[in-house]
Amino acid sequence: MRAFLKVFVDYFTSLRLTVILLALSLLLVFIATLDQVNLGVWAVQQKYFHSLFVMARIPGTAVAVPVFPGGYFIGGLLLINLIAAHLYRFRLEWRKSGIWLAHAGLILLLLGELFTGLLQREGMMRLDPGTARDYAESTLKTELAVIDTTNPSYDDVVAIPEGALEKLSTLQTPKLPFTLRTLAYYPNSALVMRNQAPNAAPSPADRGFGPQFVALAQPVTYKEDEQNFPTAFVELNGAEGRIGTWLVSTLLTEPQTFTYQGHTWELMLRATRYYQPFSITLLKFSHDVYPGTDIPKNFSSRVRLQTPDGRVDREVLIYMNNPLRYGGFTFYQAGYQNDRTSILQVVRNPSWVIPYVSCSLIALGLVIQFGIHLLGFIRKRAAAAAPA
Amino acid sequence: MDRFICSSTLVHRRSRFIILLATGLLLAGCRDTKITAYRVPKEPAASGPATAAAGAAAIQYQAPPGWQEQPGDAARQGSFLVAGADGAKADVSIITFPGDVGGDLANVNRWRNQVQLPPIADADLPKAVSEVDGPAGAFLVVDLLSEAPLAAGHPERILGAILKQPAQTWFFKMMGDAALVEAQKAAFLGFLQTVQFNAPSGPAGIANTNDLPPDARGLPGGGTLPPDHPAIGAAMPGAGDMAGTAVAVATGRDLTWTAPADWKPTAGSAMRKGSYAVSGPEGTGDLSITAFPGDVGGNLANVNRWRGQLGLPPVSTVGEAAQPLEANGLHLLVFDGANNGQAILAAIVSRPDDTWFFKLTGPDALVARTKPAFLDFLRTVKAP
Repeated sequence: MRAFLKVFVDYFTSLRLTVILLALSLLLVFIATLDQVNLGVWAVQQKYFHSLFVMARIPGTAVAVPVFPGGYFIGGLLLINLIAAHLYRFRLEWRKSGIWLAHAGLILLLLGELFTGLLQREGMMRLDPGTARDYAESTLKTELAVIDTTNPSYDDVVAIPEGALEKLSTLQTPKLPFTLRTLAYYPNSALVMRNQAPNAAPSPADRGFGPQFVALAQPVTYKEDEQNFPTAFVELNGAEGRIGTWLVSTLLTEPQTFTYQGHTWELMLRATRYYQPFSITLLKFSHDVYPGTDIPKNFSSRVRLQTPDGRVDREVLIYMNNPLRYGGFTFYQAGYQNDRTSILQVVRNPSWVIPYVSCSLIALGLVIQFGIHLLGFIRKRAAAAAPA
Repeated sequence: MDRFICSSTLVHRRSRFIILLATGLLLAGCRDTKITAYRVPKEPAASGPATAAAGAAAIQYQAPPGWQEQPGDAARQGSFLVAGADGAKADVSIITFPGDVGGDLANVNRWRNQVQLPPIADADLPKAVSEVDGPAGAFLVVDLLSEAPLAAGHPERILGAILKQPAQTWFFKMMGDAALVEAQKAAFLGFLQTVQFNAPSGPAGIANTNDLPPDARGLPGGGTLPPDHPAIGAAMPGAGDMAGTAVAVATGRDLTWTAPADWKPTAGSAMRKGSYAVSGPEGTGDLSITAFPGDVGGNLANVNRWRGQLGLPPVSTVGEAAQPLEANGLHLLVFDGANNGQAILAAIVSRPDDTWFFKLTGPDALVARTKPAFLDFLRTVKAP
């Protein structure tokens, strides 16, 4: 055990590991930057930085193999390396307090990036005047919502993220009286009317809108001005056997309904929703232009912020560079669709403050460290200059 | 001793590998696969399809004995199977569309096409149809027999009846085995005599979309215009059962677009690249998609042409009446005008060789409410 620990300590405290990891991260940033041409910013972030390994498909197969360490891997090892070095190699002494502080800032920065990657949620909230919303919709992620709409006053929603759907496995949750099996999943697709594609294979779907359509897999787009339209075929099986197979797609903008065991259910593949414990109602959207021109001067949304318990009920003006921060959420004025509809970007990042703290720590650490060196240098000079 | 060193090195290497692997696994980025469950208050009932269906005039009829009612699909207001001897079958469908769906000639030729008969000219139309009066109005009835055996291996026959109302057109069609359809002709004509319409039930008749039958969920029902509303819209042969689908993914020859689910594809004319009926409680609007070579007189001329159609005075600069919009690398110019309760919401896509027009015409209130959806729709317009 002790031998194992020593190996562990030696390995992670080595400066060689630091250098290798820094070199790898340089290389990773370089390759990722080049690949932005093909994939765009978001996909590059996911593929290179928010991943353990950069995966690549073996040509001609669907098998993906790791080809390079990803951001989480390198960053994680750097973090361990840094912490281990401090625990085992560095000594806590005043002379090195600046280095300690700067390194603490660096550790915090790495942790902050990890937390941001894992915890940050970003969505859009589209509001027409008078509309109240308590959720934002992701522009990139989709979910299959299985909704029990039986109760007249509320809906019970089971949201299955696309990550679970694309595994093509059988999903089971105590919240649903049936299992759900994904028969096919297309990250991007087009639907054509079946009567326009006479030679298409029969649809796996036999319920809902599915039989009317032929789903065609499309290459995934990474362009920022394009959107992917995922489609899946899902089979529902109850205790008594198969219930049916549905085609679900973000191209279908209406839910599909069925009844099972006396409950009414809806199936809908939709943008992932992020709910918040309060509602925002758009009172007025203003779009000002500079007089005599079409050049936008200001966009602003007067909104009403309400909590269900009635404790908070106030009006807020959101405009460019003046977001509303409430309950851990930040609402930015992101855009508009006409002179009525306001689009707010809703960001929830519990670790948003970490980069500020870590940068301050690094700055403070460097000032202290250089200050100590400077003082030492001045003392030395003074001592040298003093008459013997 | 050597052996000891070797195994020690091995342990060392293996340990390193295990450390790396364990660390990697520990740091594994969580792929979002977690299923979540939550309860939310019901959102306000979706407007549009449900209320549109509720606002439509309800059809009533009495099916002859032997006609087996079928579940049908979202597009059909009624569906029956008529079975004859030796497995002969005929299908009866009742469908409605807003507007005149391209006119009688287009509709008759669409049916002729279905039994592989050549189209007829306008002059031949009076000879091809007969008029049958009933409580619901005057039906134009056609009886079409295929000249050769069709897919089923025997000749097919269509007995069709068209009933025109101010805002919509109803199609009653029996299609199937020629002998069976002929035998059912009296029953079919008798059936037309039972067709009646109730007054629209009004939007209040449906509390929310859950009250609709599942297959009708989210799908515009039949006539979506109030009975006294002027007819809007046109249609293209062959639309048939396409209407009422949940979504219309249209692919023009050149630009492509994706229309919202509740916009019913209608038929257009040869000029149209795409055509939709946009319905709501306020009435029905007509969305046409057309393309012409060149710049068609330029943006100002087109904007002023639309203003003229609305009875508005011309503007001197495009910016006074239209705003730019970027979508998928395309530069669109969005025009929005309204006057006397009518509105035009349109977009011009100017391209090097041609100009595309996306134009929604309809009641002011409908067009104003549809504007966000229309702009979203414009954002789906793509060049290949």
